[in-house]
Amino acid sequence: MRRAWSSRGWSSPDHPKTQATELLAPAPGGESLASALRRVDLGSSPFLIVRVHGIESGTVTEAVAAFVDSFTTARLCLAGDREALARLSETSNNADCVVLMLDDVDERTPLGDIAWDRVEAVRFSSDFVARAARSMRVGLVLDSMLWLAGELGLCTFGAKEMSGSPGATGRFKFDYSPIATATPIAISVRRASEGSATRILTPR
Amino acid sequence: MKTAAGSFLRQRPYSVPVESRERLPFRVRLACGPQDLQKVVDIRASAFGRHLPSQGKALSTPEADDEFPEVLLLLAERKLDQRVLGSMRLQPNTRRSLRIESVTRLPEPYPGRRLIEFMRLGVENGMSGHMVMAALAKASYEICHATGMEFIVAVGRRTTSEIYRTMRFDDALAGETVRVPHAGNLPHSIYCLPIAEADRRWRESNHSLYAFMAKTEHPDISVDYVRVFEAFGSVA
Repeated sequence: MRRAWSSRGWSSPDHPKTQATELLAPAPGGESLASALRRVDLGSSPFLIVRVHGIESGTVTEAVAAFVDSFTTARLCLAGDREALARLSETSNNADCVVLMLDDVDERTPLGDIAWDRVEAVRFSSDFVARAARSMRVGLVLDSMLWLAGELGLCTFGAKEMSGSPGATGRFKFDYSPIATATPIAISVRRASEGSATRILTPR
Repeated sequence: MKTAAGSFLRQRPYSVPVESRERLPFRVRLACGPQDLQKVVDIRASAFGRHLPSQGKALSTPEADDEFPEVLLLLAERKLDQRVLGSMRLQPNTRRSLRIESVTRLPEPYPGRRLIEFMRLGVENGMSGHMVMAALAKASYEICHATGMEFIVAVGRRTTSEIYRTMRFDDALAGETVRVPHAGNLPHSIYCLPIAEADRRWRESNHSLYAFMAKTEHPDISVDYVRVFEAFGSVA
Protein backbone atom coordinates (compact mmCIF):
# COMPACT_ATOMS: atom_id res chain seq x y z
CA MET A 1 0.00 0.00 0.00
CA ARG A 2 1.46 3.34 -1.01
CA ARG A 3 2.27 5.78 1.76
CA ALA A 4 -0.22 8.63 1.86
CA TRP A 5 0.26 12.39 2.19
CA SER A 6 -0.19 13.73 5.69
CA SER A 7 -1.02 17.26 6.78
CA ARG A 8 -0.27 19.97 9.29
CA GLY A 9 -2.10 23.14 10.21
CA TRP A 10 -1.27 26.82 10.12
CA SER A 11 -3.12 29.38 12.18
CA SER A 12 -3.50 33.14 12.22
CA PRO A 13 -3.44 35.07 15.48
CA ASP A 14 -6.78 36.76 14.68
CA HIS A 15 -9.97 36.41 16.64
CA PRO A 16 -11.60 34.31 15.36
CA LYS A 17 -8.59 32.40 14.05
CA THR A 18 -8.20 31.44 10.43
CA GLN A 19 -6.71 27.99 10.02
CA ALA A 20 -5.13 26.59 6.89
CA THR A 21 -3.83 23.19 5.91
CA GLU A 22 -0.53 22.07 4.41
CA LEU A 23 -0.09 18.72 2.73
CA LEU A 24 3.17 16.98 3.59
CA ALA A 25 4.65 14.68 0.96
CA PRO A 26 5.19 10.98 1.61
CA ALA A 27 8.43 9.16 0.79
CA PRO A 28 9.20 8.74 -2.94
CA GLY A 29 6.91 6.25 -4.56
CA GLY A 30 4.05 7.22 -2.30
CA GLU A 31 0.58 8.43 -3.19
CA SER A 32 0.33 10.94 -6.02
CA LEU A 33 -0.37 14.57 -5.24
CA ALA A 34 -3.45 14.61 -7.45
CA SER A 35 -4.84 11.64 -5.58
CA ALA A 36 -4.24 13.35 -2.23
CA LEU A 37 -5.93 16.53 -3.45
CA ARG A 38 -9.01 14.64 -4.54
CA ARG A 39 -9.54 13.18 -1.10
CA VAL A 40 -8.45 15.89 1.31
CA ASP A 41 -11.21 17.70 3.20
CA LEU A 42 -10.29 21.33 3.80
CA GLY A 43 -13.18 22.04 6.11
CA SER A 44 -13.25 25.81 6.58
CA SER A 45 -9.61 26.34 5.56
CA PRO A 46 -9.46 29.07 2.93
CA PHE A 47 -6.33 27.62 1.35
CA LEU A 48 -4.14 24.54 1.08
CA ILE A 49 -0.34 24.68 0.99
CA VAL A 50 1.68 22.23 -1.07
CA ARG A 51 5.46 22.35 -1.30
CA VAL A 52 6.47 21.89 -4.92
CA HIS A 53 10.23 21.64 -4.55
CA GLY A 54 11.34 18.62 -6.58
CA ILE A 55 7.92 18.04 -8.13
CA GLU A 56 7.75 18.11 -11.90
CA SER A 57 5.65 20.77 -13.62
CA GLY A 58 3.44 18.14 -15.25
CA THR A 59 2.62 16.66 -11.86
CA VAL A 60 1.72 20.10 -10.56
CA THR A 61 -0.50 20.80 -13.57
CA GLU A 62 -2.37 17.58 -12.91
CA ALA A 63 -2.65 18.51 -9.24
CA VAL A 64 -4.03 21.96 -10.02
CA ALA A 65 -6.67 20.38 -12.24
CA ALA A 66 -7.60 17.97 -9.44
CA PHE A 67 -7.84 20.86 -6.99
CA VAL A 68 -10.01 22.94 -9.30
CA ASP A 69 -12.34 19.96 -9.68
CA SER A 70 -12.57 19.43 -5.92
CA PHE A 71 -12.75 22.94 -4.48
CA THR A 72 -14.68 25.94 -5.73
CA THR A 73 -13.63 28.70 -3.33
CA ALA A 74 -10.39 27.60 -1.66
CA ARG A 75 -6.94 28.60 -2.94
CA LEU A 76 -4.06 26.24 -3.71
CA CYS A 77 -0.83 27.74 -2.41
CA LEU A 78 2.25 26.30 -4.14
CA ALA A 79 5.42 26.78 -2.09
CA GLY A 80 8.92 26.75 -3.52
CA ASP A 81 12.02 28.75 -4.25
CA ARG A 82 12.12 31.37 -7.02
CA GLU A 83 13.36 28.89 -9.58
CA ALA A 84 10.63 26.35 -8.87
CA LEU A 85 7.94 29.01 -8.83
CA ALA A 86 9.15 30.56 -12.08
CA ARG A 87 8.78 27.18 -13.79
CA LEU A 88 5.29 26.87 -12.40
CA SER A 89 4.10 30.40 -13.01
CA GLU A 90 3.40 29.75 -16.65
CA THR A 91 1.66 26.46 -15.86
CA SER A 92 -0.62 27.98 -13.25
CA ASN A 93 -1.00 31.30 -15.00
CA ASN A 94 -4.66 30.91 -15.81
CA ALA A 95 -5.77 29.22 -12.59
CA ASP A 96 -7.34 31.89 -10.38
CA CYS A 97 -7.23 29.54 -7.43
CA VAL A 98 -3.43 29.18 -7.48
CA VAL A 99 -1.25 31.35 -5.25
CA LEU A 100 2.56 31.21 -5.19
CA MET A 101 4.52 31.22 -1.92
CA LEU A 102 8.26 31.92 -1.77
CA ASP A 103 9.48 29.23 0.60
CA ASP A 104 12.44 28.75 2.94
CA VAL A 105 13.30 32.42 2.96
CA ASP A 106 16.35 33.35 4.96
CA GLU A 107 19.02 36.05 4.99
CA ARG A 108 20.48 34.73 1.73
CA THR A 109 17.22 35.22 -0.17
CA PRO A 110 17.49 38.19 -2.55
CA LEU A 111 15.02 40.94 -1.71
CA GLY A 112 14.12 40.99 -5.40
CA ASP A 113 12.66 37.49 -5.00
CA ILE A 114 10.34 38.76 -2.27
CA ALA A 115 9.37 41.72 -4.46
CA TRP A 116 8.67 39.55 -7.54
CA ASP A 117 5.09 40.31 -8.51
CA ARG A 118 4.11 36.64 -8.90
CA VAL A 119 4.75 35.97 -5.21
CA GLU A 120 1.75 36.43 -2.95
CA ALA A 121 3.06 34.80 0.22
CA VAL A 122 6.42 34.34 1.91
CA ARG A 123 7.44 31.59 4.32
CA PHE A 124 10.51 32.11 6.45
CA SER A 125 12.61 29.08 7.33
CA SER A 126 12.25 28.05 10.95
CA ASP A 127 16.02 27.95 11.33
CA PHE A 128 16.25 31.56 10.13
CA VAL A 129 13.59 32.69 12.59
CA ALA A 130 15.36 30.88 15.42
CA ARG A 131 18.70 32.50 14.54
CA ALA A 132 17.02 35.88 14.17
CA ALA A 133 15.84 35.59 17.77
CA ARG A 134 19.41 35.01 18.94
CA SER A 135 21.36 37.37 16.69
CA MET A 136 20.71 41.09 16.45
CA ARG A 137 22.08 41.28 12.90
CA VAL A 138 20.05 38.36 11.65
CA GLY A 139 17.05 39.75 13.52
CA LEU A 140 17.39 43.05 11.67
CA VAL A 141 17.41 41.20 8.35
CA LEU A 142 14.19 39.41 9.29
CA ASP A 143 12.67 42.70 10.46
CA SER A 144 13.45 44.31 7.10
CA MET A 145 12.10 41.35 5.14
CA LEU A 146 8.89 41.37 7.19
CA TRP A 147 8.58 45.11 6.59
CA LEU A 148 9.06 44.61 2.84
CA ALA A 149 6.53 41.78 2.74
CA GLY A 150 4.06 43.94 4.64
CA GLU A 151 4.55 46.92 2.36
CA LEU A 152 3.92 44.70 -0.67
CA GLY A 153 0.77 43.22 0.88
CA LEU A 154 2.20 39.69 1.03
CA CYS A 155 1.00 37.05 3.48
CA THR A 156 3.76 35.90 5.83
CA PHE A 157 4.35 32.50 7.38
CA GLY A 158 6.81 31.68 10.11
CA ALA A 159 7.31 29.74 13.30
CA LYS A 160 6.73 31.69 16.48
CA GLU A 161 9.75 32.02 18.75
CA MET A 162 9.69 29.37 21.44
CA SER A 163 8.35 31.08 24.56
CA GLY A 164 10.82 30.75 27.39
CA SER A 165 13.78 30.36 25.05
CA PRO A 166 16.71 32.67 25.79
CA GLY A 167 16.34 36.05 24.17
CA ALA A 168 12.82 35.40 22.89
CA THR A 169 11.06 38.71 22.50
CA GLY A 170 8.06 37.76 20.40
CA ARG A 171 8.80 40.70 18.15
CA PHE A 172 8.51 38.80 14.86
CA LYS A 173 4.88 38.76 13.83
CA PHE A 174 3.70 36.47 11.08
CA ASP A 175 0.26 36.25 9.51
CA TYR A 176 0.32 32.47 10.03
CA SER A 177 2.32 30.23 12.33
CA PRO A 178 2.39 26.42 12.38
CA ILE A 179 0.04 24.75 14.78
CA ALA A 180 2.12 22.74 17.22
CA THR A 181 0.51 19.40 17.54
CA ALA A 182 1.53 16.26 19.30
CA THR A 183 -1.65 14.48 18.34
CA PRO A 184 -2.42 12.65 15.12
CA ILE A 185 -3.89 14.78 12.35
CA ALA A 186 -7.29 13.83 11.04
CA ILE A 187 -8.01 13.94 7.34
CA SER A 188 -11.53 13.28 6.22
CA VAL A 189 -11.56 10.85 3.37
CA ARG A 190 -14.28 11.59 0.89
CA ARG A 191 -15.59 8.64 -1.00
CA ALA A 192 -18.18 9.56 -3.59
CA SER A 193 -20.13 6.34 -3.25
CA GLU A 194 -20.01 5.95 0.52
CA GLY A 195 -20.14 9.54 1.84
CA SER A 196 -17.34 10.79 4.05
CA ALA A 197 -15.37 8.98 6.71
CA THR A 198 -12.56 10.04 8.96
CA ARG A 199 -9.18 8.35 9.01
CA ILE A 200 -6.54 9.25 11.58
CA LEU A 201 -3.00 9.55 10.25
CA THR A 202 -0.06 9.67 12.63
CA PRO A 203 2.55 12.30 11.69
CA ARG A 204 5.95 10.81 10.85
CA MET B 1 -18.97 55.16 -22.98
CA LYS B 2 -21.13 52.04 -23.09
CA THR B 3 -20.51 49.53 -25.86
CA ALA B 4 -23.24 47.71 -27.74
CA ALA B 5 -22.50 44.67 -25.56
CA GLY B 6 -23.28 46.71 -22.44
CA SER B 7 -19.77 46.86 -21.02
CA PHE B 8 -18.00 50.12 -20.31
CA LEU B 9 -15.10 51.40 -22.34
CA ARG B 10 -13.25 53.86 -20.22
CA GLN B 11 -10.78 56.38 -21.45
CA ARG B 12 -7.53 55.97 -19.54
CA PRO B 13 -6.91 59.07 -17.43
CA TYR B 14 -3.24 59.19 -18.29
CA SER B 15 -1.26 60.82 -21.07
CA VAL B 16 1.25 57.98 -21.43
CA PRO B 17 0.75 54.42 -22.64
CA VAL B 18 0.94 51.26 -20.54
CA GLU B 19 4.47 49.82 -20.50
CA SER B 20 4.08 46.81 -18.26
CA ARG B 21 1.65 44.56 -16.46
CA GLU B 22 1.93 43.81 -12.76
CA ARG B 23 0.13 41.41 -10.50
CA LEU B 24 -0.75 42.27 -6.92
CA PRO B 25 -1.09 39.87 -3.97
CA PHE B 26 -4.46 41.46 -3.24
CA ARG B 27 -7.50 42.52 -5.22
CA VAL B 28 -9.05 45.98 -5.13
CA ARG B 29 -12.82 45.90 -5.57
CA LEU B 30 -16.01 47.50 -4.40
CA ALA B 31 -17.49 46.28 -1.14
CA CYS B 32 -20.74 44.43 -1.68
CA GLY B 33 -23.16 43.37 1.01
CA PRO B 34 -23.14 43.30 4.81
CA GLN B 35 -20.14 40.95 5.18
CA ASP B 36 -17.95 43.25 3.12
CA LEU B 37 -19.27 46.27 5.01
CA GLN B 38 -18.25 44.66 8.30
CA LYS B 39 -14.78 43.91 6.94
CA VAL B 40 -14.42 47.55 5.89
CA VAL B 41 -15.55 48.72 9.30
CA ASP B 42 -13.17 46.36 11.08
CA ILE B 43 -10.10 47.55 9.20
CA ARG B 44 -11.18 51.17 9.61
CA ALA B 45 -11.63 50.82 13.37
CA SER B 46 -8.28 49.05 13.65
CA ALA B 47 -6.46 51.68 11.59
CA PHE B 48 -8.00 54.71 13.30
CA GLY B 49 -7.75 53.09 16.70
CA ARG B 50 -3.97 52.95 16.43
CA HIS B 51 -3.75 56.74 16.41
CA LEU B 52 -6.95 57.73 18.18
CA PRO B 53 -8.26 54.94 20.43
CA SER B 54 -11.53 56.75 21.12
CA GLN B 55 -12.03 57.25 17.39
CA GLY B 56 -11.35 53.58 16.75
CA LYS B 57 -14.06 52.58 19.17
CA ALA B 58 -16.51 55.06 17.63
CA LEU B 59 -15.81 53.63 14.18
CA SER B 60 -16.32 49.99 15.14
CA THR B 61 -19.84 50.05 13.71
CA PRO B 62 -20.93 51.21 10.24
CA GLU B 63 -21.64 54.90 9.83
CA ALA B 64 -24.85 56.10 8.20
CA ASP B 65 -22.79 57.47 5.29
CA ASP B 66 -21.51 53.96 4.49
CA GLU B 67 -24.97 52.97 3.32
CA PHE B 68 -25.93 56.00 1.28
CA PRO B 69 -26.77 54.85 -2.27
CA GLU B 70 -24.32 57.32 -3.81
CA VAL B 71 -21.40 56.19 -1.65
CA LEU B 72 -18.87 53.56 -2.69
CA LEU B 73 -16.60 51.57 -0.40
CA LEU B 74 -13.37 50.33 -1.92
CA LEU B 75 -11.49 47.51 -0.29
CA ALA B 76 -8.18 45.73 -0.86
CA GLU B 77 -8.56 42.04 -0.13
CA ARG B 78 -5.67 39.59 0.07
CA LYS B 79 -6.10 36.87 -2.52
CA LEU B 80 -4.81 34.03 -0.35
CA ASP B 81 -7.26 34.24 2.52
CA GLN B 82 -9.57 37.18 1.63
CA ARG B 83 -8.30 39.19 4.57
CA VAL B 84 -9.02 42.89 4.04
CA LEU B 85 -5.80 44.91 4.06
CA GLY B 86 -7.25 48.36 3.46
CA SER B 87 -10.37 50.31 2.63
CA MET B 88 -11.59 53.77 1.69
CA ARG B 89 -14.93 55.49 1.32
CA LEU B 90 -15.67 57.56 -1.78
CA GLN B 91 -18.38 60.11 -1.10
CA PRO B 92 -19.49 62.49 -3.89
CA ASN B 93 -21.66 65.60 -3.63
CA THR B 94 -24.12 64.33 -6.25
CA ARG B 95 -27.00 63.99 -3.77
CA ARG B 96 -25.87 65.80 -0.65
CA SER B 97 -23.02 68.03 0.46
CA LEU B 98 -19.67 66.60 1.36
CA ARG B 99 -19.14 65.67 4.99
CA ILE B 100 -16.47 68.37 5.31
CA GLU B 101 -19.04 70.94 4.17
CA SER B 102 -20.94 70.31 7.40
CA VAL B 103 -17.86 71.72 9.16
CA THR B 104 -16.83 74.60 6.95
CA ARG B 105 -17.73 76.29 3.69
CA LEU B 106 -15.31 75.46 0.92
CA PRO B 107 -13.69 78.44 -0.75
CA GLU B 108 -13.78 79.17 -4.47
CA PRO B 109 -13.56 77.51 -6.95
CA TYR B 110 -15.08 74.45 -5.26
CA PRO B 111 -18.76 75.38 -4.56
CA GLY B 112 -21.07 74.20 -7.29
CA ARG B 113 -18.56 71.78 -8.78
CA ARG B 114 -18.65 67.95 -8.90
CA LEU B 115 -16.66 67.02 -5.82
CA ILE B 116 -15.76 63.71 -4.24
CA GLU B 117 -14.41 63.28 -0.74
CA PHE B 118 -11.97 60.47 0.03
CA MET B 119 -12.79 59.41 3.55
CA ARG B 120 -11.93 56.86 6.19
CA LEU B 121 -8.78 55.50 4.55
CA GLY B 122 -7.64 52.59 6.72
CA VAL B 123 -4.73 50.25 6.13
CA GLU B 124 -3.97 47.22 8.27
CA ASN B 125 -1.42 47.68 11.00
CA GLY B 126 0.35 50.40 9.05
CA MET B 127 2.52 47.71 7.54
CA SER B 128 0.58 46.64 4.48
CA GLY B 129 0.76 50.28 3.68
CA HIS B 130 2.53 51.34 0.59
CA MET B 131 1.27 49.01 -2.10
CA VAL B 132 -2.27 48.85 -0.73
CA MET B 133 -2.53 52.62 -0.42
CA ALA B 134 -1.16 53.11 -3.91
CA ALA B 135 -3.65 50.64 -5.37
CA LEU B 136 -6.59 52.23 -3.52
CA ALA B 137 -5.45 55.66 -4.72
CA LYS B 138 -5.19 54.45 -8.31
CA ALA B 139 -8.62 52.81 -8.27
CA SER B 140 -10.18 55.89 -6.68
CA TYR B 141 -8.61 58.32 -9.12
CA GLU B 142 -9.71 56.28 -12.12
CA ILE B 143 -13.26 56.14 -10.74
CA CYS B 144 -13.25 59.91 -10.32
CA HIS B 145 -12.04 60.46 -13.87
CA ALA B 146 -14.52 58.01 -15.39
CA THR B 147 -17.47 59.65 -13.65
CA GLY B 148 -16.54 63.20 -14.54
CA MET B 149 -15.69 64.35 -11.03
CA GLU B 150 -13.90 67.70 -11.02
CA PHE B 151 -12.08 67.72 -7.69
CA ILE B 152 -10.92 65.16 -5.16
CA VAL B 153 -11.28 66.51 -1.63
CA ALA B 154 -9.45 65.04 1.34
CA VAL B 155 -8.98 66.24 4.87
CA GLY B 156 -5.83 65.40 6.74
CA ARG B 157 -3.84 66.24 9.80
CA ARG B 158 -0.37 67.69 9.74
CA THR B 159 1.13 64.19 9.70
CA THR B 160 -0.34 63.54 6.26
CA SER B 161 0.34 66.94 4.74
CA GLU B 162 3.55 65.77 3.08
CA ILE B 163 1.70 62.97 1.28
CA TYR B 164 -0.86 65.37 -0.18
CA ARG B 165 1.80 67.93 -1.02
CA THR B 166 3.85 65.41 -2.97
CA MET B 167 0.71 64.20 -4.74
CA ARG B 168 0.30 67.82 -5.86
CA PHE B 169 -2.95 68.51 -4.01
CA ASP B 170 -3.75 72.16 -3.33
CA ASP B 171 -4.18 73.35 0.24
CA ALA B 172 -7.72 74.75 -0.03
CA LEU B 173 -7.40 76.74 3.19
CA ALA B 174 -3.93 78.11 2.41
CA GLY B 175 -2.34 76.85 5.59
CA GLU B 176 -5.35 77.30 7.87
CA THR B 177 -7.03 74.35 9.58
CA VAL B 178 -10.48 73.46 10.84
CA ARG B 179 -11.48 71.22 13.71
CA VAL B 180 -13.33 68.18 12.36
CA PRO B 181 -15.86 66.72 14.82
CA HIS B 182 -16.10 63.40 12.96
CA ALA B 183 -12.31 63.01 13.16
CA GLY B 184 -11.62 63.41 16.83
CA ASN B 185 -12.29 67.16 16.70
CA LEU B 186 -8.65 67.64 15.77
CA PRO B 187 -7.40 70.40 13.46
CA HIS B 188 -7.32 69.28 9.83
CA SER B 189 -6.24 70.82 6.56
CA ILE B 190 -8.39 70.48 3.45
CA TYR B 191 -6.64 69.29 0.30
CA CYS B 192 -8.09 69.39 -3.20
CA LEU B 193 -6.86 67.99 -6.50
CA PRO B 194 -8.34 69.01 -9.85
CA ILE B 195 -8.88 65.73 -11.72
CA ALA B 196 -8.26 67.32 -15.10
CA GLU B 197 -4.78 68.41 -13.98
CA ALA B 198 -3.77 65.35 -11.95
CA ASP B 199 -1.92 63.46 -14.67
CA ARG B 200 -0.01 66.52 -15.82
CA ARG B 201 0.94 67.51 -12.27
CA TRP B 202 2.20 64.03 -11.39
CA ARG B 203 4.08 63.60 -14.66
CA GLU B 204 5.76 66.99 -14.48
CA SER B 205 6.80 66.49 -10.88
CA ASN B 206 8.18 63.04 -11.79
CA HIS B 207 6.26 61.56 -8.90
CA SER B 208 7.55 58.16 -7.75
CA LEU B 209 4.06 56.69 -8.06
CA TYR B 210 3.51 57.85 -11.63
CA ALA B 211 4.84 54.64 -13.19
CA PHE B 212 2.57 52.60 -10.91
CA MET B 213 -0.44 54.72 -11.74
CA ALA B 214 -0.03 55.51 -15.41
CA LYS B 215 2.41 53.10 -17.00
CA THR B 216 1.44 49.83 -15.34
CA GLU B 217 -1.64 47.76 -15.95
CA HIS B 218 -3.01 46.13 -12.78
CA PRO B 219 -5.59 43.47 -13.60
CA ASP B 220 -6.09 42.92 -9.85
CA ILE B 221 -7.63 46.39 -9.55
CA SER B 222 -11.04 45.16 -10.51
CA VAL B 223 -13.76 47.76 -10.12
CA ASP B 224 -17.35 47.12 -11.22
CA TYR B 225 -18.09 50.23 -13.23
CA VAL B 226 -21.76 49.35 -13.64
CA ARG B 227 -22.10 49.95 -9.91
CA VAL B 228 -19.86 53.00 -10.09
CA PHE B 229 -22.05 54.70 -12.67
CA GLU B 230 -25.20 53.68 -10.83
CA ALA B 231 -23.89 55.31 -7.67
CA PHE B 232 -22.16 58.39 -9.06
CA GLY B 233 -23.80 58.93 -12.40
CA SER B 234 -21.55 60.49 -15.02
CA VAL B 235 -21.12 63.63 -17.03
CA ALA B 236 -21.87 62.77 -20.66
